[in-house]
Amino acid sequence: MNTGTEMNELEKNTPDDFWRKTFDEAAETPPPRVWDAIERRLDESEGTKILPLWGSGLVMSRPLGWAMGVAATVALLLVGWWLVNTESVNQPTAQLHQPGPAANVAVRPLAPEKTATASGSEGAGNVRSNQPAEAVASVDKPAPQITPAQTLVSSAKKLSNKPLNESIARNEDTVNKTIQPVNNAGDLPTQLMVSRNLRRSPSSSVITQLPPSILSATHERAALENRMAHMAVQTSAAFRDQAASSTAPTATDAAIFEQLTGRPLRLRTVGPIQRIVWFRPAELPMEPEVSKSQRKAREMWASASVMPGAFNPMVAVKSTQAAYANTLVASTGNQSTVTSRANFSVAYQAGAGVQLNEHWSVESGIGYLAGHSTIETPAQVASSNYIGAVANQNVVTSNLYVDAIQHSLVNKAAASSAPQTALDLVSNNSFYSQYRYSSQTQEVLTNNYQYMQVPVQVGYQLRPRKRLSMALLGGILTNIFVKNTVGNDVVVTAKDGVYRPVSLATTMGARFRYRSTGKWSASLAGLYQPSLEFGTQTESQVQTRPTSTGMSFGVDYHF
Amino acid sequence: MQDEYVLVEGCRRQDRIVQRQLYERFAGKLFVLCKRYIKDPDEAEDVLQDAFVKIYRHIDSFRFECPLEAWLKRIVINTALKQLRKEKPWEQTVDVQDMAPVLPQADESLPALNYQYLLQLIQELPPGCRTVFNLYAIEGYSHPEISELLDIAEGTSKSQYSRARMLLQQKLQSDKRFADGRPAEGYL
Repeated sequence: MNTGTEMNELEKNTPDDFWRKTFDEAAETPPPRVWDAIERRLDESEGTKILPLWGSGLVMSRPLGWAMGVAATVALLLVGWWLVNTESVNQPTAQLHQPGPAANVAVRPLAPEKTATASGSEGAGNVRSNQPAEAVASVDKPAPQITPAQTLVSSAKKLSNKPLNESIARNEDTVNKTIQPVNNAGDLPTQLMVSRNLRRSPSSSVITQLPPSILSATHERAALENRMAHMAVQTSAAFRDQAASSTAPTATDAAIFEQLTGRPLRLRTVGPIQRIVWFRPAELPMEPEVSKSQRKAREMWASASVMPGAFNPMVAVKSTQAAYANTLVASTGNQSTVTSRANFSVAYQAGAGVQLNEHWSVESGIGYLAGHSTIETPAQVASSNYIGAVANQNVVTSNLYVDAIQHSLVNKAAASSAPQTALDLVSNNSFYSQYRYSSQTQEVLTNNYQYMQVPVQVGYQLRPRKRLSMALLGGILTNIFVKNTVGNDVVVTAKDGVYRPVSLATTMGARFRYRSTGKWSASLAGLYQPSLEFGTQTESQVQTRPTSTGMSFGVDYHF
Repeated sequence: MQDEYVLVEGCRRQDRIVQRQLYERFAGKLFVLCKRYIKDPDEAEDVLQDAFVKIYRHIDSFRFECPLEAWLKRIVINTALKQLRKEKPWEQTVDVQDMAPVLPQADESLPALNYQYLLQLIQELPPGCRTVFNLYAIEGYSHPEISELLDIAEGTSKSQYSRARMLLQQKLQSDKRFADGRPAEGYL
């Protein structure tokens, strides 16, 4: 190729007839799903008004959107961290008054009125949420109704040197040779040709399919078109300036039109073939629609969330504990029970999901759960002959729950022929003979569980493709036990063999998601997560079946 | 012109039947237009969908100062460019050697090159070259206009267009229909 020739073409941009003409006539029927999607979006925009929570314009810019997303995530994490810390400060164990080896637990007689051992934790509930100071109003305004007469008159007032107006003026025989020159010498014939084409186009094929109300409007339009053509020849430079400033779209989305408004409008149909294909038979799609639609709907997202809630391990001590406790429990005359109460918990989770089709999605991730609970357990007191030696008082040495855990540890150690430890003292019968578990004296102690969690859940969208969507969630939650801290001094880890390293739970709930932009959304979900199996080993003296409930707040980024 | 007026007025009234008629009349051409800019067919459908939603929402801004089809094309082109702007492919420089030598399967029985064949050729171009070639050679924009539209230097627009021509020429020359020495320059 000659470089000089090429540069000349580059400079003057002679329209490439071959390529242009080929594509001017090319048409390919889109799949039916395109119109379905358009219709759905039109229905949405007509039916719902969404409050733009994250603003528009500059606020919607990508850097600021990222910054807001990061800020929201940090804020959620800080709130979670603050709530956890507040909870730990108000632990019931802070109200210890009894001396002895179990100094970290509060001991109180079992009485009708409750002591304030757990009331401190309720202070954490006084979290005040700040509402936004300003109410955000919808930006959607109803478009002004424009009658056909208004439209044409306003159009005529703003007529510029657009070639179409020239063609109209010619055809109405009102041209007095004052047509404005065009910018590009190649444009004039093009526009004139196009206008002729438009006039002789088979418009009846459309009109005959229209309702009578539309047809009646055409008579009014014909009269107005005459007026418009007369006004066209009176176009002045002032009108052109006005038109240039007034033709810009008014809505936000219309801003993209502005990039092309400065250039003259041309239809490049200079060649000999001057027909417009109005209708074209449907063509077969290039590939099966089923596979395309499946591929199209698969949207992915990543999310980060924090879920404050309540966690109850549902602790129980096995009946076999009675054997280990010998006559101690039976001698009290009452069935000795261990009860647990739910307390504050918080779960952090990072995950990802994929939208399989319009309604179904699958998501997974990894999380961390810090679950706090309160245990009420019968305390162990010295037997009567031992009491006599100690100032005639009940001396609390331990409690049923802690002993059950420690006994489980001992059994584990004995089974593995581990060396003797300090815990062996607990299993010494001579030691037991000195103590009894008294249901009259209950101990309250904290029980803090930590789990790593791997949820796998499916979601069913009740409001697909809506800005405010709602989905039902359900799935399996794998709880990986990390440790449990009983009181302040007994720490049981996964290696100790008391708790199952991995246990399963179900997760179910509903989630609202507000998609403020194409990429970001905020979600609010209510979740209930009961265990499917015991969280402890079968040989353990303690049984747990944790259940957690909570409200999850999250931010999502959609790819 | 008359039926265009009826279509526009019907769309202004948000008459769904008329909106459908407007779609059926122009969607075929506009779909090919989308596919010239966006290679992925799913993305092209999305662009067409977005463009028509904009058309219906902003039909009030159309004042019959130009043919309706030209106005619709502008919206589709702008929507496609908006989609492409996310990747800014025209800022990437692609070596001619990097182009895949695989040619689209053309129907050799055709006496002339049909649009599907040419569309495949265009879609095989790197995105930057493809965009500039579409705007310059087919839409008829000048390089200063393209540079403003894509926010690139005028020289970049020229070099991308030059590269596009070279790549298309190579592809045409390696086509069997030009194996007899028939020059392919006539198509470019």
